[in-house]
Parts: sequence; structure tokens; C-alpha cells
Amino acid sequence: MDSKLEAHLIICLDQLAEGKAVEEILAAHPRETAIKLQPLLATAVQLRQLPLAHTVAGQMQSKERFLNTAAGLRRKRTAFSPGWLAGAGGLWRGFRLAAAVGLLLVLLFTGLIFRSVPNALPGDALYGTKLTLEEWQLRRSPDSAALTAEIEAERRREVLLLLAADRVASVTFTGQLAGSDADHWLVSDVPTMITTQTTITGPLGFGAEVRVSGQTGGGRVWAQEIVILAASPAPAPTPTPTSEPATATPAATPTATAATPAATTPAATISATPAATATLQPSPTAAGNQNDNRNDNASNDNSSNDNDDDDNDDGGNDNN
Amino acid sequence: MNQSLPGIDVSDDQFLLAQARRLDADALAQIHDRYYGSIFRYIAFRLSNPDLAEDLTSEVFVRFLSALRDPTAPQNSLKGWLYGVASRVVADHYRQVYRHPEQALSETAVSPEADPGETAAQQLTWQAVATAMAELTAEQQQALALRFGDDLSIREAAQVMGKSEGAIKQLQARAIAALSHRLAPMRES
Repeated sequence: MDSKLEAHLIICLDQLAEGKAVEEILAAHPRETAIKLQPLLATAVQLRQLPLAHTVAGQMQSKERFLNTAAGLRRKRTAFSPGWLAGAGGLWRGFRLAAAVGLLLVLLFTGLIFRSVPNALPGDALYGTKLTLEEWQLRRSPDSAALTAEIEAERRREVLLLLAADRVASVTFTGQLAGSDADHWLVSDVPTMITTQTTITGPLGFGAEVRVSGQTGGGRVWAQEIVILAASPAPAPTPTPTSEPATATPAATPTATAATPAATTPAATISATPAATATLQPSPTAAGNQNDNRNDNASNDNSSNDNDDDDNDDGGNDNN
Repeated sequence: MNQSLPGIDVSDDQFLLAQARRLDADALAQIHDRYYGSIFRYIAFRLSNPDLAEDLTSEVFVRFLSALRDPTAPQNSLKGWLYGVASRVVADHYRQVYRHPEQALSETAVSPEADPGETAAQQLTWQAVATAMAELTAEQQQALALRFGDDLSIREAAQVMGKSEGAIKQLQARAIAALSHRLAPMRES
């Protein structure tokens, strides 16, 4: 069939599909083309007249077979599952139950942990988490100054709780130097003990903001380091050049201070004023009472001397 | 094939297909009711044997159940998929006939209501057409079966076969020409 006749046939078949009669279609073509197209269109008509109706019985039988086969497959599926799959299914259900219970326990445990974290004290397992959370809160807080103040208050509260519970733990807190009686200081509400190992840095004075690092025990904090963060508005109260440590009395060391550094460490360095730095020498008999071996006062300014050290009341050498 | 066939609610087909995958009896019954006639005409057109066509149509639906578990099977066009299965079923049948020529390719197709003389003439025509059709290419046979057997439009046939409408028109014209050439002796006699 040449391409021209093919093109004519395509058009004629379209027209036939639209419902036009063969004669009508052929009449639109030249006689020679119509003669060639006529048997082709007759074949197309013949194809349309083939008896292609199905029987209802045939359809019903087919449907029955189809649905029965499907039912068989369904039974296979369910019959397959009671075997190993059912066992696996039971196992899976058990696993899901265990997982749910586990998850519940984890949630409960997590809840308990998060409830416990705010009450954690230095030395507790969750205390690191508490500090991390505080740090995270501080980073995200729009008012970091207020939060910092809250956190500092919390540190002091923790120390007071440790003291009330008579627990030994390393602590660091900040507060204002509210008062001092020789080696008994009061930093905000926290009773703080100055020892011969205490290092004091900065100009002291009542109202000075200090950071205390030390150890709790015996109802007070045994200071290892005191850093004056902000000088007091008024002149500092305390510093009394300390006595000769070598003559310190060998009183017994309180057990609460067992964790404090050994007395063989260098003396506390006091740089209360730029003019003079008092370095107090610890007693060689350091095992004695720290209260008695203390370097009584850290600052070296010549304001009121609160030193009540019975053993070293001669003023001592500031620059030892 | 993601295109929709005109007159066919593809979203409904997709729902039926999803339900059929779960072997839902209602969905399967609906699929059978909806497509049995089309698939039968498609097969019957190519076989000239209504009884055999019914058997093979039934076979198409049973194979469809197996095909449901095939993860590579098309997800959207249920009708296109069924035609694909039908085409393979017919091809398998011809392959079996060629291997076992003792099996008759065609039998009688007598309608109890029809005039016996007319029925015999129709059957002769149908057999001749089927015999001539078997000599066409598979694509030509499929195009004619879709267009004249199931009365699909050019566009629908193009979508089922995954070809352009122009390609279907050309396939159809060449198939008609080839078939006409083969049927000429019968027409003359």
C-alpha cells in the first residue's frame, strides 16, 4: 500500500469510526482511489460486525473461579501465618509489648531524672547534667544577668544544703563578703573558713564580691581559693599579716577537712593590695588543727585587724 | 503508564487495585464485573472461538491475581494491565497450539438465538478473520483488537499500547490493508 493510499485510508477509518456510511466516505474520493479503498473499508466494517458478545454463564463461571482462587490465596496467607510466621507474629507482638514497656520505663526514668536534676548537689551523679542545663539556659536566655544571679544563688543554696547535711564535697560559689571574724568569714550566707592553704587574690573589703572554691565539711566551707571579683566600695576589713606559721599549735585537723590539700603546699598568697602581698607560711606541723594553723587574714591593708589567732598574734611577716 | 483512560475513573481503579492487592473480595468482584466484557472481546476478536475466549478471559483474571503480587507491576492503569495480561494469555495460547497442532484453533460459535444459516456464515467469516489476523504482527493484532474488538478510541488504544495516536492510526490502517489482502479470496468466493 502506497503512502498516499495509506493516508486516505487513515482518514476514511476515522470517518467510519465517527459513524459515516462507507458509500458516503468513498463518494468524497476520486473514483480510482475509491475503488482501492472500498475493500479495505469493507474489511473494517466486517470486523465491526463480528459477534463478540460473551455469555452471562461464561462471565459467572469466570467470576466464581476468580473469587475462589482469591479465597484460596487468602487462606494460604492466613494458613501460612499460624506456622512459623504466627510464631514470629507472636514474637513480634511480644517484642512490641516489651518495647512499649521499655519505652514507658525510659520515659518514667527520664521524668524522674529531670525531676531530680534541679535538686542535684555537688557530688551527685546528676550534678554535671544540672550544670550543663544551666549553661544551656544561660546561652539561650535573653536576660543572662538575671539568670546568672539566679544560678549564683543556687550555688550558695547548694552549699548550705551540703552543710546542713554535713556532706563533704568540692564547691565553688560566689557571694559578698558579709563579715569576718578572724578566719571565720561569712560569704553571703555561707560560713567560710580560711586555712593556711587558702589562696586569696585581690583587694579585700566588706561587700567585696568573691568567688570561693573549697570543700564543705563540719558545717562550713574550707576555702582553698578565694578570688575577689569586685572590690568592696569600702576599705577592706580583714587582713592581718599572719603569724609565724612555724609556731603554730599542732591541734587536730577536723575530719571534715580531710579532703583539703596537704599542709605541705606552699603558703597562701595574699595580694590584697598592690602595695604588699602577704604570703603566709603553713605550719610544718600541718597535721595539727587547721584552725590553729591558719593564715588568719588575707589582706594586708592596715585597716582593722580581726585576727584573733591566739597563737600568732604578733602580726607576723606579710611578705614571707 | 500513568495516563488515565477517558471514561475510566483511574482514582477508583487505583483504589480497587489497592484493595485487590489485599485480596478484598468486593474489590475483586468489581474488577471482574467492570472488565470482563472488554477483555473477552479483546481475546475473542483474536481467536474466533467464544468458548475458548471465555476460558482465556477467565485465565486472564486468575493470572491477574498472581500479577498482583508482582512488585514491578504497573500501579495505576488497571485496564491497561489487564490488556497486557490478556495479550500474553493469547500469545501463550498460540504458542501452545503451534506446539500441539492437534488442538483445534477454532470451534463452533453458535448463538442459540441466531439464525443457523446466518450463524454459520458469521462463524466462517470470524474463522477467516481470525486465521488472517494470526498472520499479522502482534502489534497490528493488538491495535485491531482494541479498536474493533473492544471498540476503544484511537486515544484509548494509544494509551493502552503506550504509543502515539498517529502510530495507532498507522498500525490500524496497515493491519486493515494486510487483513483485507488476506481475506480477498474468501470475499471473492
